[in-house]
Amino acid sequence: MSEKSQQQAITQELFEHLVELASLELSEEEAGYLRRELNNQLKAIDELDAIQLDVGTRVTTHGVPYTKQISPDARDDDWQACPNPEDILAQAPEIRDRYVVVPDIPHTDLE
Amino acid sequence: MELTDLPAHTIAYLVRRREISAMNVLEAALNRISKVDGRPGSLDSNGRLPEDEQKVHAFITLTEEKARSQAEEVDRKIAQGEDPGPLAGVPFTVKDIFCVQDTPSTAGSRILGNFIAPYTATPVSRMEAAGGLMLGKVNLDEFTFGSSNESSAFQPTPRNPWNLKRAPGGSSGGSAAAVAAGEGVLSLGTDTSGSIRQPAACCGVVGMKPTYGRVSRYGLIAFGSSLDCPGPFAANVTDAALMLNSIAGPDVHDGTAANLAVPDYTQDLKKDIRGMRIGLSPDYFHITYIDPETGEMDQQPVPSEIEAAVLSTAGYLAQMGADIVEDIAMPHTRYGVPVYFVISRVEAASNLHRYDGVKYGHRTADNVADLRELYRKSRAEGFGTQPKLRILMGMYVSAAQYSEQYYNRALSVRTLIRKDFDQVFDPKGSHRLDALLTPTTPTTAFPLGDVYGDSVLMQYADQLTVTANHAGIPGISLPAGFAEDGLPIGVQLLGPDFSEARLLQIGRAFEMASEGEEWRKKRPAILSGA
Repeated sequence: MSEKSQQQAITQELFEHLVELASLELSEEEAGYLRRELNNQLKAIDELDAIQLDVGTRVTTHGVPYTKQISPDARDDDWQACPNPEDILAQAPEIRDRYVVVPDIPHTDLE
Repeated sequence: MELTDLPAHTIAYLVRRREISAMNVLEAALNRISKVDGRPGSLDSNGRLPEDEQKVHAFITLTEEKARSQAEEVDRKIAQGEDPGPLAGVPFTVKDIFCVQDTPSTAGSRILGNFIAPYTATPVSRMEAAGGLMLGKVNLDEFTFGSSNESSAFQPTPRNPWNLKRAPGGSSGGSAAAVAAGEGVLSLGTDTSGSIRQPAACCGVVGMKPTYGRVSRYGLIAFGSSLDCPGPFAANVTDAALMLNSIAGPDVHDGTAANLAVPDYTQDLKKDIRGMRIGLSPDYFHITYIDPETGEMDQQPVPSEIEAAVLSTAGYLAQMGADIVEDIAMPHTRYGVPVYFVISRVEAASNLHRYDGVKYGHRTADNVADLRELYRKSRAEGFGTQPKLRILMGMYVSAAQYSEQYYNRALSVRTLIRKDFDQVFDPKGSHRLDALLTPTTPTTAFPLGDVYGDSVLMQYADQLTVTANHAGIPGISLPAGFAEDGLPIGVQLLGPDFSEARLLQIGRAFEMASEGEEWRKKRPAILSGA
């Protein structure tokens, strides 16, 4: 294991921060498993450190190059009515007067 | 032997000639499902029952009524002299990661357990328009996160029809199992790191990951948006080609669907492959993985039976006139999994942030103080362990202070993986390959329970397939015999962008050359007496 991977292993504190960012809550058992697996995966990821990257190696965000030839033209920005808005509203866990109901939104009152 | 054991192209031919009706075929499929599938996966399975171990459990939702009305429509069209379409009367299943209107579309997750899709994914609507009969939605790893289907929230999960104690592979395990067991003749799956090809290999069927952008992703519940590819499962190459004809092509609803005409993929299947250059790379005959305990890298050759199956396939292709080119260097193959650990997690975390218990899907029944707690509790209850793991890793490696080291580095190594392929497929290069021939998987189907939980080892099941997702290129897994344990072995062909027609042609040449092999006559044990 490289020193770096040991230094950067996900600590309990960092893990809790990630859980907060991810909007999750975890049982102790689940948290133990997830933190262990994350650190194991990071060890696998650290293999990438050994690769010599030439200066100017570009990044690839999609494997297949988007050439003009195969990229579709942007379609017109036309307004189109949704054919079944009721079906979409029907998916919401709680609806009142066609509004989606949620609990209090954390906020600060302005003075 | 039932009608669903016939190839799709034969079924469509017979239906169109009115020798059988679409309804006959549907009845045969429903009959097969009732014999072999057992209870469907559900959120309230009450644990495992002993009888579950005797069944395939490919399905989550059977859409019998829908299939009946589609069969009636095909039969009506034929009676009135209308064209019923190239998939007339062919029963198919859909991985439950595609939206199908008015149908539960769950992604194998509790968080979408009650979601009824308000629209239909493009590849599904194209198969329906082509006369296919949609039998239902089949099981998968939760949000496609796995290689065994064990992570699905919908239990019991699929079993391998060749050996019910083994995993069917994944994540499109229900698709592969359904085709292998003759429940549906075709299936629509998705492949983000090997999720079509790996289960196809495990279940002894054909599975193709088309070029990224060849098939629209509209209506596909997203995981890794730069990697996800919908594609066909079939019992043979001709059927996979027929299905690809239906699902491929530009789509106004997906700006990443390539604006490129769709050839008839069945056109060249009988053409000979003389002079085609097919490469073998030593870098695809072993896997390199990390021992999490020691942190040491370990390298293991693929089992000799799998190597022998690949070499035997090469032998058949050589008999058919192909030039086999050995010792092709693909030096970045081993980095496919670590790169995937970064890129796919970032994309997954981003795609999964939309599930919050507000507009659709699972919402906690607990009393909550505010909206943030609603998010946390709904997500905690709705997501299983594997989505949580991917979200957390995605958050970490894309965080501002780490993204240069992890995310950007992974995207740069992705460039090198792509370059490996560009070099060997370059028509003016030194190798000028038409395709690369490799094993699909480093093992045959593993026993249920053996790997699940070890997220690192599970990911290495994809080491030989994931490179094609990084590079965007097409790949196909073909059945190529059986190991001593009686489980199928798959071999993989990889080709340059949009070379699906050529890969299918080579695959068909292999089928023709090995037609007389004893192993081609084998049927899964679960079908004896079915």
